[in-house]
Amino acid sequence: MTTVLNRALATLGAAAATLTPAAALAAEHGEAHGQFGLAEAFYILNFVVLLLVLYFWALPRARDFLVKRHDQAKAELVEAGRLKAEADAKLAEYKRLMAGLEAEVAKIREDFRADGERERARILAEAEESATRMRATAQKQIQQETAKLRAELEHEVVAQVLASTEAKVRAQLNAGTQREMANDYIQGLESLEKLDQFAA
Amino acid sequence: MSESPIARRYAKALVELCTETKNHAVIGKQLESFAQTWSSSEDLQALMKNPVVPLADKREVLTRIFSRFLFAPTTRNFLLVLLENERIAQVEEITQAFASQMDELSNRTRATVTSAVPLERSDLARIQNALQRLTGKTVVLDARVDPSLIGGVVTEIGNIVLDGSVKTQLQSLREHLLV
Repeated sequence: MTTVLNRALATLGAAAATLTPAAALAAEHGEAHGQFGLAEAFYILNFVVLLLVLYFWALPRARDFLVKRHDQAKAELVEAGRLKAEADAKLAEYKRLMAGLEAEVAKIREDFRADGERERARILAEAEESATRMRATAQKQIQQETAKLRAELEHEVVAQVLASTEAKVRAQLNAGTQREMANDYIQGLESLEKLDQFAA
Repeated sequence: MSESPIARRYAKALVELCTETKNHAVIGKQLESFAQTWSSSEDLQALMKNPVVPLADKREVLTRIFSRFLFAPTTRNFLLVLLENERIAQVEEITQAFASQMDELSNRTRATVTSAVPLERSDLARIQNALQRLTGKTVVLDARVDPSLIGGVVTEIGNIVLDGSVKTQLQSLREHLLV
C-alpha cells in the first residue's frame, strides 16, 4: 500500500515537474495567442497517460529486466570468478609441474641410466656365465679327449706288448715246453681237493 | 644248448622206456645220429616244419631214414611221436636232455679237455682220474685241440672251466695292464 502511494506521489511529482514547463509554455502561448486551447490539454493528458504507462507498465519490466541482468551479470561474475580461480589453480599446478619438470627429467634420465647399468651388468654376468660354461665344457672335452687318447695309446702299447710277448712265448714253445705245461696243469688238477679251488 | 622243460619231459619219458628195455646206450647213439642228420640237413628241417606237407608224407620220409640207419623200434616210435606232437624240431635239445639224464642215472659226467697240441693218452687218463676223484662220478672225456690256446690246457666240466691256457693268461695280463 505504501509502495503504491509512494509510486502515485512520485508520478504526480513527476507529472507536476513535467507539466510546470508545459503550463508555462502554454501560458506563454496563451499569452501569445491569448487563450489555453483544447488541443494543448489533450497533449498534456496524452503525455500524462504516456507517463503513467511508462511508470506502471514499462518501468517494472525495465526494472525486472535490469534486476535479471544484474543477477545474471552477478552470476556470471561469480562463475567467472570461479573459473578464474580454477584457472589460477591450474596455472599454479602447471607452474608447480614446470618447476618440478627439470627434476622429473633428471629422475627419468637417472632411471634410464640405472636401468642401462643394470642391463649392462646383467648382460655382462650372462656373458661371463656363458664363457665360464664354455670354458668348463671345453675343459671337459679336452679331458675326455685326453683320456680317450691316453686309453687308445695304452691299448696300443698293451696290444704291442702282448703281441710281442705272444710272439716270444710262441717262439719258446716247443713239444717239450708244451708237454711241461700240460704236466704242470695236470699236477695242479691232481693236487686239488675241490673243483672250485682251481687257479690258473 | 640249454634244455627246456619240454625237452626234459620227453627225455625223461624215453629214459623210463629204456629202463624197461635196458638199451639206453643204443637208443642214445641212434638219437644222436638222427640229431646230427637233422642239424646238417636244412632240407629235412624245412620239410618237417612245413605245415603244408601232410603228416603221412613226413612219416614216410622219417620211415625211410629209419630204414637206412637201422633204428631200433623204440627210437623209431619215439621220433614218430615227436613228429606227431610237432616237437621234431626240438630233437637236438631232447637228445642232449636224454644224454644228461642218462649220465645222471649212470653217475656219469662229461668233460671237454682242450689243449693247444694233442695230449698223450696218459695225460688224458691222469686228467680223467683227477676229475673222477674230484666229482665222485665216472667222467667221459672229450679231447679237443685248439691251437689258438697257444699253450696249456682248458677243461670244461658242467658249469666249471679249469683254464690253464697261455691265451687266457695273456688275456689276464692284458686286463691287468689296462686297469
